[in-house]
Amino acid sequence: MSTQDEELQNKFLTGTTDDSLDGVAYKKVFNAISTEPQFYLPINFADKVVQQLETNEASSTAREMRWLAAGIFLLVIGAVVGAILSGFRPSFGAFKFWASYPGLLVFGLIFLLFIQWLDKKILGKSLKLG
Amino acid sequence: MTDDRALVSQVLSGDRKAFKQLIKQHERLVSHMVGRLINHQEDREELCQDVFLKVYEKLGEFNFQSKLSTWVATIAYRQGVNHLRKKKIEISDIPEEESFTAHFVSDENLEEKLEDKEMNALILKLVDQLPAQYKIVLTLFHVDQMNYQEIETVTGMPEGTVKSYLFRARHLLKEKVKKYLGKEEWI
Repeated sequence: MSTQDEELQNKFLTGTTDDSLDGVAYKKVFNAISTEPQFYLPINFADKVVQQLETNEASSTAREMRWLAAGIFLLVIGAVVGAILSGFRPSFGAFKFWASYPGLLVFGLIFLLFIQWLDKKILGKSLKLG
Repeated sequence: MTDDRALVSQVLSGDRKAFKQLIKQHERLVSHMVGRLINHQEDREELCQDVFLKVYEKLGEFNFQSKLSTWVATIAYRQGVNHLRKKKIEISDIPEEESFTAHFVSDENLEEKLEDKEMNALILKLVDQLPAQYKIVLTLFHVDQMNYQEIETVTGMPEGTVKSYLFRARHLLKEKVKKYLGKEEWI
């Protein structure tokens, strides 16, 4: 690869031509490599991508729900097995306490749900925005 | 850049129309890159789709340090390279450069005479035979009008390597074309 080649290529990059055999060859090369590859996406390509995205999201939600159900199921099984093995006898002392403060119980539940909602809304968004 | 910010913000807030607009703005760029890198027609559309799904997934990480198109091209490049790796296709520098060059510009299969259109098609066929890195820098520079710095961002290659690949690729193609032109002169 020579300096002459470099000069010729630079000439073509600045729009100047050259009549030598190398120059004619470079002209043909520059013309060809500036043409678009012969591959075109269908007109509805963007719709297809969004459709695929929605399908992926739906299957991801379904998968998360299955994991949640499996988790709850295992938790219940674990609790039952634990209760049997430890000879646990339920006592409703704690629930009697809550019965004296129904407002506090309702507030606590609503507060927890609110925190969860806020977390999903604000923290989720800020994570996505980076 | 301001338009990019508005568009990205809309997509991140879950606006599907904005995402479709983002796709439409960049689908030509992605199709050029994929079309040049991947030879199998059936893989091309699927890969383009994967590129945009990845763009959606990673958009929250885009920090506006470059143009959105450059960032999209970076994802397309990585997806393309990963695809080639999976198919065990060479993506590094020209192997054993001298022997490759000799083989590339050999007199074998020289046709008798070529019309301009045929010559164009022939050169594009020759481009297909070049290593992937050469094809991608040629496409980004000559078809998508990216500058050296943008190609450096997209491919992660130093600017000097980008310039060298461009020069060597054009030189190889010119040498082969010269053989055809030399032959024509004798006809």
